[in-house]
Amino acid sequence: MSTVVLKGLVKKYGQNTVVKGIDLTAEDGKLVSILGPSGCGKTTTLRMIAGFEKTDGGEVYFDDKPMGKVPVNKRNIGMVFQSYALFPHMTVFDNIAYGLCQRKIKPDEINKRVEEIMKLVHMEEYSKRKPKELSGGQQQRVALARALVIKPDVLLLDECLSALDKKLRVEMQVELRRILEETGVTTFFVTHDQEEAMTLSDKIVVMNNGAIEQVGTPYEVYEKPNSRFVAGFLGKANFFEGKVTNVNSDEKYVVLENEKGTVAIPAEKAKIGENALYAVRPEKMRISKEPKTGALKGTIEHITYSGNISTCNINCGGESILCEVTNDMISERPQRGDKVFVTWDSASSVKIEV
Amino acid sequence: MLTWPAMAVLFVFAIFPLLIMFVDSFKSDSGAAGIVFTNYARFFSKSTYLKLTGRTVFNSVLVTVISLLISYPLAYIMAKKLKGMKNIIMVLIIIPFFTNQLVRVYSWLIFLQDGGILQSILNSVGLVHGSLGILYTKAAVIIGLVHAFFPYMVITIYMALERMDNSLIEASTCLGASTFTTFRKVIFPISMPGVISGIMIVFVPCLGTFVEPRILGGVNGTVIGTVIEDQFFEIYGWNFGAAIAFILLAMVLLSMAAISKWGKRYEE
Amino acid sequence: MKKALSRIYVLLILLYLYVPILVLMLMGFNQSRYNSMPFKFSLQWYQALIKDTKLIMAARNSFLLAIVTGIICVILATFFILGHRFLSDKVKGLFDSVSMMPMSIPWLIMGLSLLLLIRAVNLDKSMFFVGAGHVVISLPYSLLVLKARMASMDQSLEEMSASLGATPFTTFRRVTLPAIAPAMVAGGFLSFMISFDNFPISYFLMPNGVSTLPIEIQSSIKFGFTPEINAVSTVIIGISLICLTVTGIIMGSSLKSMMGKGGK
Repeated sequence: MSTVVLKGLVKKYGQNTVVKGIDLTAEDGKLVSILGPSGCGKTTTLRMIAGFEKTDGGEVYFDDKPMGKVPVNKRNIGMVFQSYALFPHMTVFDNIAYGLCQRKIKPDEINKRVEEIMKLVHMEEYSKRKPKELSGGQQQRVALARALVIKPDVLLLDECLSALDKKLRVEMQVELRRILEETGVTTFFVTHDQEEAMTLSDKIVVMNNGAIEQVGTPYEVYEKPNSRFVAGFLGKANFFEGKVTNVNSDEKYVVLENEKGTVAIPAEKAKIGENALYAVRPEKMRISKEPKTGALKGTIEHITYSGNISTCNINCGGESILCEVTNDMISERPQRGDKVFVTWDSASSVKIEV
Repeated sequence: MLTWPAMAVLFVFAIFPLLIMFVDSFKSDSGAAGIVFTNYARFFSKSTYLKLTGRTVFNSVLVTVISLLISYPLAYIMAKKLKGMKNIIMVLIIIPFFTNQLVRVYSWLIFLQDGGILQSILNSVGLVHGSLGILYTKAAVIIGLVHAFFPYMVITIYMALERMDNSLIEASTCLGASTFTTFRKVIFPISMPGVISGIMIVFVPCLGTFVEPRILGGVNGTVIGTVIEDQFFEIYGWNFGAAIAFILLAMVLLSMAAISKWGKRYEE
Repeated sequence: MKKALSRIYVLLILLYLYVPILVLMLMGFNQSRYNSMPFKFSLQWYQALIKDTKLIMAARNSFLLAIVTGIICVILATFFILGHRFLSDKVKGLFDSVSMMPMSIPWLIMGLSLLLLIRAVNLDKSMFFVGAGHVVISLPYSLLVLKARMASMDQSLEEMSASLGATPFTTFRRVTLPAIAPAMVAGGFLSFMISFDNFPISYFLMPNGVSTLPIEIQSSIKFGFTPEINAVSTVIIGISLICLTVTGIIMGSSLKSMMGKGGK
C-alpha cells in the first residue's frame, strides 16, 4: 500500500496536450475516483500511473519514490481493465496465479493466496473454469482477484463496471467497496458514471479538458461544486446568472438581472453590482400552489413521472427550471399546465465563483 | 434445386474421377485382369518409395517450420508494431501469390542459376567465388516452396494477432511479466489458432507439390509428386501412379484431419 | 530503434518476395540471351514476342479458357449460393465440404484423376475436359467470395421486400441481385485468375499441340531458355495484377474476409 502522488503530469499526443499538468494525492488506502466526460484525459492519467503511457512532464510518486524510470512490470500495480482482459486460454485459477508466478513465489504459497483471494471475491467454486464460461459479473470478480492477489501498491480500475447491466453494477459497487475495505489498497477508479463515483469514493476528482476541475469528497463536489461544469456534470442543476441588483439579507433573497429580465431567487452571500452565478439542485426545490414570498411563479410545461419522484420542467418567466418532487402524496400530484410557485432554502443556492 | 448444377459438376469432374482413380489403383499395369494389390505392395515394399515419402514429409515440415519462423515476426510487426503500414504490407504480401506459379518458379530459376544475377552480386561482394551451385539442390527447392507458401501463414497469424485484445498484453505486463514472458505465456498461446491454420495451409499443399521440386531441384528434387508425374508421363505406369496418388491423397487427408484436431484444442 | 529493426525485417521479407520477380521482369529488357550480366537495355524480346505466333496462340488459349471458366464458375456459384440458404443443416454441411474439397486436394491429383476419367470413358483429351478441370478447381474461389458477401448481406432486406408485396422474382431482381452483383464480378475475376495461372490441370489434360502460357513457360524451361519467356512472364504478371486490383476494388473488404474470417 502506498500514498500515490501525481505532480504536474502532462501528456501530449503530437500537438495535442491531453493531460495538462495534474496534481493529485491519493492517501494510503483511499479510493479516489477520476470522473469526467469521455476524452477528458482521465484514462490517459490512469495509464500514466500504470506506466503504459510515458509522461511528457511531471512525475508519479508511490510513497515518495519517483516511478518515471520504473517499467510497468516492476511497478507492482493491480489493474482491472474495461474488458477485464482475462487470459482466455487459462483457467480462473491460472489467471489469478499469473502475477504470483511472475514473482517467483513458492507453489504452496501461491495456492494459499489464490484460494484466499477467491474466497474474498466469492469465486472459490469456479477455479477450474475458463473465463468464457463465466458471467460478466463473475469475470469482473476474477479480474479483481487477479489484480489484488499480488498485493499491489496501488489498484487501478478502468471503467471496470461499465460493461455490466444496471442491477449487477449496483451489486458489484457494494461488493467492490467491501473487498477494497478488507484489503485496504490505495485505489484509482476511472469512470464517467457520477453515481458510481459517489457511492464508491473517498475522494472524487472531476476532470475536464485534461485538467482537474475540482477535488473533494463526494459530499463536497456534489453540494459545493466550484464550477458550472462540475455542477452540471455531477447530477442536474438549475443555473441562475446575472448582475445582482438587490440583496435582501433578512428574507434571504437576491435579485439578478440578465438579458431575459430580472429574477428574485432565495440565495445568500451576494453583493450588489457583482455578476453572480448560482446553482440549485432540482431535488432541493419545492413546488406549491399557494403563493409564497420569494417564490418563483411559473407554469408546469412537462412532467416525467418515474415512480419515487416526478421531474417537472417549469417555465418561470422565460427561465426553464428543472424541479424534482417526491411523490409522497397521491392526491396532490402536479399536473401539466398547473400554475405553481417554486421555492427553496436560500442555503441550497450554491454560489459559483465566476 | 439451385445448388444442383454446381454439385453435379463437382460430382462428375471431381468426386467421380477420384473414385475411378481409386479403382484404377487396384489394376495392374502389366495387363493382368481383376483386382490386384501389387501396386500398393510395390510401393510399401521398396525402400526407395518409403524414403521418398519420408523426404516429401521432411520437405513439408522444413518448409512449414521456416515459413513459421519468417511469418510470425512479420505478422507480429504488422499487428502490433507498424500498425500504420499494415495495409500496405498486407497488399504487398498478397500480390506475389496471385502471380503465376510457373512465373514465380521460373524467376527463382534465373535468379539462382550459375552465372545469374545472385551469383554476380555475391561474387562482386566477395562472399562467393566462382559459381553458386545452389540451383538443382534441395536448398533451392525449399527456397522456392517457402516463397510460394509463407504468405498464407502471415495472413492467418496476422488475423489471430489482430483479433487479440491489446489489454491482455497490458494485463500481463502489469502483473509483472517481462516482454518475453508475456509473449510466451499470453501472446503466443492466444495466437495458436492462427498458427495452426497457417501450418495447415502450408504443410498440406506442400505435400502435393511437383512443379517447384522438379524445376528447382532437378534430380535432387524428387518427391512423391514428381514420381507420380513420371509414372503418368515418362513410364506410363498409370495404375501404379494412381496408387501412389492415392497414398499421397491419404497423407493429405490424414494430416488435414490431424492438424484440425490439434486446432480444435485451441478453439474458443 | 525497435521500430527501425521492424522496418528492416519487413524490408528483407519483401526483398525475398519480390527480388526474383523483379529480376525476371528486368531480364525481359536485357539484351543477353542467357539472362547474364552486364545489363543492356533492349526491347527485342518484346518485339520477338509480338511476332511469335506460338506464344500468341498460347496466350489466346489461356485467355479464352480463363474467361469461359470464370463465367461458368460465377453462374454455378451464384445458383449454389442462392439455393444454399434453403438447405437443411445436414445437407448444407455436406455440400459445403464437397464444394470446398478441390481446394484441399492437390491439383496434381485432381488433374490426373481427370486423365484417368478420360481413359475410363474411352475419349480423347479435349478442351472440354480441360475446361471442366479448370471449373472444378476455380469454383471454390468464386464460392468463397459470394459466400462472404451473402453472409454480410442483411437478410431482412429480402424479407422487407417480400413484406412490401414483391414477388420472389422481383425481390431477386431488385434486392438480392444488386446486393451480390459486386461479389459475382469479383468472384469471376478470382476464378479467371486461378484458371489463367493454372499449370497442372492444363498440362495434364491439354490435347496435343494446344498450349497455354504456363505450359509454354514450362516447356521453355524444359527444352532450353527462350528469352521471350521473360517478356511473357512480365505480361502475365501484369494481367494478374490488373485482375487482382479490379477484384480488390470491387470487393474491398470482402476479399480480406475471404482470406480469413477475422478481417475487419
